[in-house]
Amino acid sequence: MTWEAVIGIEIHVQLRTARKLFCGNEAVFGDVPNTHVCPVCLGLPGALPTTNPEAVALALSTALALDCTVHETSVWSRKNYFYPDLPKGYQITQFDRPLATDGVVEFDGSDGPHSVRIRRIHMEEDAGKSIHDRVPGATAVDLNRAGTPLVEIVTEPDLRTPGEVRAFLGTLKHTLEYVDVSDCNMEEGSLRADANISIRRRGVEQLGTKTEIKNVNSFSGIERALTIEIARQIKVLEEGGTIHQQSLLWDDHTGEVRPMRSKEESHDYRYFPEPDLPPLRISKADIDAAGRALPELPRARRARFETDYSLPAYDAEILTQSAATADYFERVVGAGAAAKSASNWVMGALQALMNERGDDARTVPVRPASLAQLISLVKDGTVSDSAAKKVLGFMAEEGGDAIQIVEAKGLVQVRDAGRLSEWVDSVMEDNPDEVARYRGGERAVLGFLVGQVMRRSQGQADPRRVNELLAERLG
Amino acid sequence: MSVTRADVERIAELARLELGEQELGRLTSELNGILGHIGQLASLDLAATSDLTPQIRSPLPATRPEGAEEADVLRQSPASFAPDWREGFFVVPPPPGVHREPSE
Amino acid sequence: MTHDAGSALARIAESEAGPGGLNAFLSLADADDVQPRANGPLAGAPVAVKDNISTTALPTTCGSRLLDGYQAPYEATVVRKLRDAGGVVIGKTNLDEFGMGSSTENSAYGPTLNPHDRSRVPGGSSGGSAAAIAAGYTTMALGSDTGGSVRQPASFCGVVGIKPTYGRVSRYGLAAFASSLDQVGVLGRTVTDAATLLGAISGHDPHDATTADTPVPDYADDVGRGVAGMVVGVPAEYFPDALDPAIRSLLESGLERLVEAGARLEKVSLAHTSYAIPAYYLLAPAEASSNLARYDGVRFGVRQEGSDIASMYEKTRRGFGDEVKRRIMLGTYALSAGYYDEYYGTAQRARSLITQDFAEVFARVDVLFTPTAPTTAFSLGERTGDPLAMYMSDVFTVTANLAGIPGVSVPVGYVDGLPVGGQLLAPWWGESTMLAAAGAVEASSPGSLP
Ligand SMILES: [Mg+2]
Ligand SMILES: [Zn+2]
Repeated sequence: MTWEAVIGIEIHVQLRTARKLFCGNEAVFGDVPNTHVCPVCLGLPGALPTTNPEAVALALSTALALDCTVHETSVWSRKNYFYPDLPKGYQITQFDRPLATDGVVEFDGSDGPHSVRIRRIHMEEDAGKSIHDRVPGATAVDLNRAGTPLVEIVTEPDLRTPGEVRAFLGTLKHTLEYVDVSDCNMEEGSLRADANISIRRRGVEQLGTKTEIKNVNSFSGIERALTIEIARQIKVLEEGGTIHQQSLLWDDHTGEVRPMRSKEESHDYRYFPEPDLPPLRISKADIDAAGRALPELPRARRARFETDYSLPAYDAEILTQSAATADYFERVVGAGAAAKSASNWVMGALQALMNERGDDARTVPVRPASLAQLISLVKDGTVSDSAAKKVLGFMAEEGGDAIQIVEAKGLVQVRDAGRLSEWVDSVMEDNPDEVARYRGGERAVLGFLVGQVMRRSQGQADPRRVNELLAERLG
Repeated sequence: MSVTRADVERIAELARLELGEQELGRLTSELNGILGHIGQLASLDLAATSDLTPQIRSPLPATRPEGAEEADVLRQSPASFAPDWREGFFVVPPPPGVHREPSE
Repeated sequence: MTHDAGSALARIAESEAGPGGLNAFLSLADADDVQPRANGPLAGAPVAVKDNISTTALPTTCGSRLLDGYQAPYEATVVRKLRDAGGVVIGKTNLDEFGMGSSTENSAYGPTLNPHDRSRVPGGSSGGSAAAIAAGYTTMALGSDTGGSVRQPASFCGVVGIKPTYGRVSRYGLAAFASSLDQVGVLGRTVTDAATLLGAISGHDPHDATTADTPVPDYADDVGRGVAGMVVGVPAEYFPDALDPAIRSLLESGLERLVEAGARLEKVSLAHTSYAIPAYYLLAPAEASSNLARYDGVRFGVRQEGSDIASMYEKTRRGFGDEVKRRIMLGTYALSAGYYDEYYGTAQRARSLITQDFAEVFARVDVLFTPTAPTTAFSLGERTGDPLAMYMSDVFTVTANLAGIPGVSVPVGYVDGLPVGGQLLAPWWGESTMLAAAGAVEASSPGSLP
């Protein structure tokens, strides 16, 4: 292919705060319309904004997690435009002096590691929701979302393919979840992306004319929209046409990209400093403290799991998918379990248990120390693997230590030669045909006989010892 | 510094003000009169000045104090002051298209 | 003068009902609703409130057709505070629409008349509040001052009007005109009345991020402190050659009396004063154009229906008066693409020069003494066709708003039967000194109410 795409992304992320950015209403979604509103977020005459410190703290963590320089002074501005779900007729945002600039996000594409520079991150308030199919011939406006806090993250045009964009967004989402600043729920619109895109011949330095795709709120949507738009631009240029700078709307239902009417597009936002709010000042000390409080980010943690715990890359990747799971794993190891065993248990039985219960590693009622104890019981042969899984279930349901449960439920593994011999002998007696077939060279029958012994012992027999014993007697 | 009638029309559209023919003409000349007077600012030497307002320079806390949010309440439901309120929504005539410009 | 709100209300209702009414009030309290809520320094005093300040018992129209019948669902901080201090809101006073004007002629509900001469304006935009005090309806009122809207009508009506330091009084609940310039102010029959009301409404408000946590002194106590040893600056730019000689001579006698009371005079210069009106008429309309975007007919107020959202906006906003439209247009232009630096940016820089002038002068003097307005009350209709002439009524008052400093207008005498006010300006948070000087001017001024 002789063409190369140049793509920059703007992402709006909803911050996970209890309250709105400039008033005291709760920031909740999906509640009865217009029930979380007040003079401030309704833009009533005389109401004034005040800045929510919780939102500032989350925006600060976001900026630091993306390796940005955070400015000690940033300035609120008004972006003026009329829309029914924008109560004041302006959005309070940050314009020429944003919260943070010059960050970077490292991510893995299908062809290896990449990095994207972050141009800026600023805070702003969200608009309400206009619903066009609720009241016939009219628009219904719900202002519960109006004034909820967002950060807008703007990248440099460092991305080259729709696939890279998707991988970058995946890493970004993962990072934001890790730092716990946002729910990143795309269906609820807590992550929304716009893309700037132009194409140029490979090897050419100069950028082509760009278009902007708006309204994308799924990863697959952005990949599809970009693929379509790149193809369109290539076609236009190869047919000798020119690309016009314009805004395009992505329609997730039809899978189409359509140009916005010029009137929707022609804006003059008349930005000016917001006179109702002092500048946002964050001291150097607070910035440093937030930096120290930042959790280890997923990529770094994954690398550390591979080296410190000698885990396979696959395990490290799965365990670090969520900060809670990674924390849990490290606590199990801290309580004395071998890393690989802990990894197997956390990724396997514990994960299955969590899925079944609708829990995550933060809420599952099995203490990491108890799991570590259970792992040691398996290791020293006190319980069998299959019994241990039952123990895990009991720990979640009834609580208690692994040892107590094993004893109370009679799940201790039997390795006593006398009792094992009784079971082996009786099974051999009851299955003369199988015994004969084995002796006749059909070695596969051994598995069947071991199973019979295990059943007769109600799972208490140590299967390794049963195997040895049977082989001895049959041989 | 002066404005044309076309400028005035463009500004009126930005400000969502519908102006009659007469109003347009009158405002064009009035705005030019005011802008003419304002033009004397051009003679100032502003090299060493700040464009921040005095209040912006004063050391005020950047965020609201604890507990301040509790008093942001409506004494009556929006139903009591909304021009058109149906089923818990503010209702307005539809936009020219159904799509709004997203992610402002 | 009685402090009883019930009898004040009855007097107002009677006087304002007939053809001789001043049209000072847009709404009056219910006679059953005038019991003070609390004991406090205002001791049941009736207080008139400018109709751009949110009240829950009475409508808040801002003098605009767009807010005809609008009943605010919350109370302004200043109203809450004055009621907590024992004051009683007896009614809402007329004003220029959204505070935009200097004569109270820009009200959708008709002009207010000056009680000293009913063919003349009371000044504005807090004309209803000033006229209500001058007419003897009440001794205290709230106003708002963005470029002189408390001080100029106080001067025209022969009452006292204070514009506090920016950030001294909460703006929460004051319908914004120009946020960086607006400040709720007080009007009183005497300096003590005004100072008492100022004390009741001052202080930090967690709902207004631009209020400061600076201690509130006992302002009423400051009034009688005297001016012995005080240095009073006389800025040349506020006494231009063209100043009406009769006004000049009243101001000069005021200065002489300050000297007799122990003050020392010093001539000073505020070099950038002539840039104040141009800077003000860029900044105030720019902020106003944004502040008034919320009057769109969507959530509150009066809507004019349209076939689509764009026509609904335009039909609704056609209800603004001419002066409001003029300022929205001017401000929208000043902020529009390509003009921001030339207009808004330049005006902000001019503002900083004006602020700097004051800072330098206040290093040498305690207060400044100037005329409040270049003329006495002008005739109804005299300036409505000439916006620039109207804007020039604010020439001596806008500087305090641009710099954020406090100012007070005190009556200094009469010219041809019309009151004249002298203005005292002080540095940031200098209300105490300013009120001591105002008290001294008042004590020595010949004059009486009509
Ligand atoms: Mg944005
Ligand atoms: Zn709210």
